[in-house]
Parts: sequence; structure tokens; C-alpha cells
Amino acid sequence: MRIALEVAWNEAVRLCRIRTVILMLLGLPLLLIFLLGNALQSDLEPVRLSVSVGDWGALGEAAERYLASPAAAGYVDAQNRGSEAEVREDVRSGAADFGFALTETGVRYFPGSFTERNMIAESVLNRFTADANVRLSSADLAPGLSGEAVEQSLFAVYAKERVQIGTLLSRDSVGFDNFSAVQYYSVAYLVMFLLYSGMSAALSLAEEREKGTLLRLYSIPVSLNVLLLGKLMGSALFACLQAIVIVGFTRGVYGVDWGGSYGAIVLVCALVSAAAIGFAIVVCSFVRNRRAIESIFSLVIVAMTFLSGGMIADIGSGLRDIGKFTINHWANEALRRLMAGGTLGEGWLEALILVAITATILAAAAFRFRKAVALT
Amino acid sequence: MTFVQFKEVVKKYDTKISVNHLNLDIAQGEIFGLLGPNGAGKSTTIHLLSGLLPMDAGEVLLDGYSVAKRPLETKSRIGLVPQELAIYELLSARENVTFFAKLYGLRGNLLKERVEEALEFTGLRDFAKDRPAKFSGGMKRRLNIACAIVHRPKLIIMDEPTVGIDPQSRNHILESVRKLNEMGSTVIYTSHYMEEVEAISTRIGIMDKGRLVAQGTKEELNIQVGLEERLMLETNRLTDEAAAEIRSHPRVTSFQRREDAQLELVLQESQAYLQDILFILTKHELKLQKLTRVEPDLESLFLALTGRTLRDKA
Repeated sequence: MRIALEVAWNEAVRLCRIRTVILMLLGLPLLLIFLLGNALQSDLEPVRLSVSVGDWGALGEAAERYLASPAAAGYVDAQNRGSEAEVREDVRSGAADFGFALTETGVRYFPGSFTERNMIAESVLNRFTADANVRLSSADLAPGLSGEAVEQSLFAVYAKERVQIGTLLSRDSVGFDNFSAVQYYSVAYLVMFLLYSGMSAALSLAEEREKGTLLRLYSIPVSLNVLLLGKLMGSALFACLQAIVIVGFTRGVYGVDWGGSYGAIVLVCALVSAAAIGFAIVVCSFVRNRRAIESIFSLVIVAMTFLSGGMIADIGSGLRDIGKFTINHWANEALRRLMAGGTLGEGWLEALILVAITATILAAAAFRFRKAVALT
Repeated sequence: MTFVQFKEVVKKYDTKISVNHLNLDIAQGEIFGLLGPNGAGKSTTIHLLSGLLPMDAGEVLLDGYSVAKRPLETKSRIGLVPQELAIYELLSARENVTFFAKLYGLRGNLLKERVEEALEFTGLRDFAKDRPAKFSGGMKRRLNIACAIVHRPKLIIMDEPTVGIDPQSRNHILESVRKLNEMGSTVIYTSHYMEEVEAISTRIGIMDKGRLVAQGTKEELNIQVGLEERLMLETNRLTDEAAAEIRSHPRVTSFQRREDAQLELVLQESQAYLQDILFILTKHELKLQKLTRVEPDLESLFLALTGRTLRDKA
């Protein structure tokens, strides 16, 4: 075991001294998380809404109250205007993103230039108009019904909707934590770059064979299995460092909340690393050339990351289904569950599939081991 | 005492026989030079001895242990200096030697002592903190040796250790080999450079196409092959009569006339019969201007044995 640790340490030290490895495996994931997380963030700036409610009495007051309420204020920044013409002018000149006016003929919308902002404004305003329709209908149908009763009835409906959404996405939890883009990509790229640590293992073996140090290692009175175990442990050590840097940095600098179950995170990362190293052995058993190893790993890892939604969150249901055959998908799901405050026990199916995939790859690696480590 | 023994060893790669029924004994304390052209089977032979390759038939014994059956015992006695530079470019010279020393089981103060000793021996002590990227080719070769000798092996196997380096570094390495031998190690030295093998080996083996075609000291090999010393004579002029008389001398086994006044002879027992040749020259009023003795070299020996030169492929 001592010899294996010596070899592992030697391997880890050598990897850490390669600048491109440090940049690629430590720096690049942090950069990608930052870039994609901020470019695709789900937090939106409030839409500038120009509003004219005129003298429409209770309906106008209701509109003003609604636009000032927490439900709407997070999405729209309403500015009152005296007339429909002013609202139209605000939108035309770009002083507002969207216009809303209550007129004699009803509600009028004045969309601006940006489709996304128009959609947000319409979504927010449609809710008010739906509410307004309910109130008006109840006033017509039940003139004796108080406004307070109508409010209570509407509230009950909205409350029920919130509970249903929570139950669909998180089994027993009452609430649902939405992931920010930074959180989403932190998980995706942690998994992706842990898989790249397998490529380091494969390249190291190929380099040792090319440079002749493997021949010297084989001439030493140490078991082949111990030597190779040491090499693979070295890559695993580096993968640990990678995971610590990515999780620590994103938590400390980007404010990513990993959920607190670091033991479980370690377990998931260990399974991914083990799978990566197993894959490295399988690849090395077929391919000796370093360029070929790099190409195979890059192709496989990028494809798996894409199919698991690691590059574009919504890739369509067809591709997502294919993505379920990747280790990335199950590792991502497990880590996001932990991020959301869940446990691996709750997500036992994900954990089981992850273990099964890793075990399968390691079994293939054991079968191809002798070929992978042959001198020629 | 026999230290290394090859008994009917065969190694094949697919249909090609790389080592063909090799029988070879190497005594303890020898420097055994294994000579042969590229592809002769030298590297395969030492890889079989080092336990790096399995053999298809036969047995190799090292210090009484079977290489196939007791690999850990045999490997612990060997220090291999491979043909390729088997060093880590990203570790310093000291880190390289220390790493391999640890793998050989050295620890604590003994480890430090042996590492410094190996660096000192190979002239790298002043460069111990530097990485091989800063080294010349010769220095890298020396580091290659340092990694192999740190554990003071009983047998040092050097596979073409001077390929691609400058003459000064080559001489340093050859001197190191002699010193290692004086310190008690048996050395097996493979090369296709006959000058190196001639310079340091106590015994020489010549391999060709997987077979050991001859072995012995240089003198023994010359006798085996029947090669003799040649004499090159240069006179002021050479008459046909003088040339004919020299040619007919009973001890002249080979005669070649070059240019106008040059002769190349093979004269048996030249020390005794050279004066006859000189008498013939004097009788014909010829002056001897230059006399050169040319001993048979390994190149001509190899040519005589195989019909090819050392620089030809096997």
C-alpha cells in the first residue's frame, strides 16, 4: 500500500505541475460556470411598464394596487401616465418596454420591441385582467356578494395552485427551490470536469509508455497491480482537488448553495471519478496514441454533457431521454437533489443507477486491464 | 561463478523469432558486451532477463533464481538503464532518483544517503534541484543511470546507454560503467557501437537474427573466426619481383597490393617473420617508409561471422 501511495503522490504532483492541466481542469470549469451562469441567468430585470388607468374607479384602483403588489412588482416597474397617448409615446420612444391602458373599450396593450419583455408584461397583466373578469362576472351574477368574499375565494384558488406546483417537483417538500443558472451549471460542469480527470489518467499511462518510464516501473520489484493502483489513485487525488476547488470556489465566490450534504456530494463525485478512471482503462486498452485518447474522451464527454442538458438546459424531450443513458444525467440529478436540500436516500433510484453505471464501467475496465497496461 | 544463465531461451513475436535458442552464461563481476546490429535481438534478450517479457521457451536464471518464477527476487537484483530516457521531465533530478529509490524499498537516512551517492556518482549533484528539461542529452543519460543504480543492484543492464550523446558524455558514461564494475556490479552492456564494447567489455557476445553467433574475449573471438593482424607496408617504390617474393613467403596468408608502393599483408606469427619481409625489401634495395599494424576489429569479426556489417539491419 505504501508503494501505491508513493506512486499516487508522484502522479498527483506531476499533474499539478502541468500548467495546461491546472488551467483546463481547475480554471476552465470555474470560467464556464461564471460565463454560462450569468449569461443565462433566470433572474430578469423588471419590465418598464407605462400605465394609464384614467378615471376607471374601482377597476383602475385595483389595477394600481395589483401593479404595486409583490406578485407584480418583481416583474414590472409601473409608471403612471395621464393618458393612453402618453403611454403610446413612452413605448414608441423606448422610455417604456410595454404599455397598458384602461380605455372605454377595455384594456389595451402596447407591446415594445423586445419579445421576451412583452411576454413577461403580458403574463403579469393577463393575471390582473383574468381577476378583473372574475370580479366583474361575480358582480353581474351575484350582485349581493361582497368584494371581500370575492377576494377570499380568489385567494383560495391561488393557494391551491402553489401547493400543486410544489408537490410535482419535490416529493415531500412543501416548497420548491428554483435553481439559478449558476447553480445549474456548477453541477453540470463539476460532473463534466470530473470525467476529464479520467482523461488525465489515460494520457498519463500513454505518456509513461511512450517516454519509457513504464518500462522502468515494470522492471522494479513491485506488483503490477500495485503500480497501476497507485497511478489511478493519483488521478483520483487530483479529481478530489478538482471537486474541492469547484465546490469551494462556487460556494465562496459565486454564492452557490450546495445544500450542505457534503458527505453525499463526495460520494457522488467519487462515483463519477471512479467511472472516469474505469473508462480511461478501457480506452487505453484499445488506443495507445495520445491524440486519439484526447479525441475519444473529448467527444464522449462533450456528447454526454450536452445530452444531459449540461450546455443547453432545455434540449427537448427526445434528447433528454437519450441523456438518461449518460452518467452525467444521474450524477446531475443526484447533486441537484442534494442542492435542493434532499438526501440520496430520497433519490435512491438516481443513486442506484449511478452506482450501476459506475460498476459496469469498472467491470469492463477489470476485463481490459491487462491489455491497457501492456508495455507494447 | 555463473551469475546469469540463459538456457535454450526462445522468444517469438507472431511468426518472427526474436530470440532463437539462446544459451549464454555470464559470470559474476564481468562486463559483458552484447553486440549486434539493430533488430538482432539484444533488447529482447535483456527484456527477458529483466522480467519485462515472458519467454516462449527456455529458462533464465539470475543469481540462482528463475526470472519467470521468482520475479521479485530477480528484479530486486537488477538496475535497468533502458535505451529510452526513462525519467520524469516534471520532477527534479533528486525527485526522480528519490522516487525510484522509494520504489526499491529504500527509506529514511539510507534513502537520502543512496540518492546523494547516485547523484554524486553521475556528476549531477550540483544539478539536483533542476528538472531534466534544462539538461543536455548527456546529463539526461546520466540521470537515467542514476535512477537505475540508486539501490546498488548486483546486475546493471545498460541498453545502448550512449545513443545520441556527445563524445565527452559518452566517455563519462563508459568510465562510470568501469567504476560500477570495480565496485562489484556485474554489467551487461548492449550496443551497436563496436568501439564502446571493445573499450569496456571483459567478454563479448555477438548476436545476429536472434542467435548468439559467437562469445568470448576479443582475442578468443579472433581465434574462433580466424582473423589475424594485418600489416600495412609503405615503401619508396615496389618492384614486381619484390612483391612476388613477399607474396610467396610461406607465412603470408593474404597479400594485397595497393596503389604503387603499398602492401597489405596478413602475416602469421608476424613478430617472428616480419624480419623476413624486411630482408626481402632490403635485398631489392627498397626502403620501408611506414609500417602499420592493424588488429582485427569487431566490425570485421562481425562481417566474417555473418557476412554483413554491424550497421546493416538484421
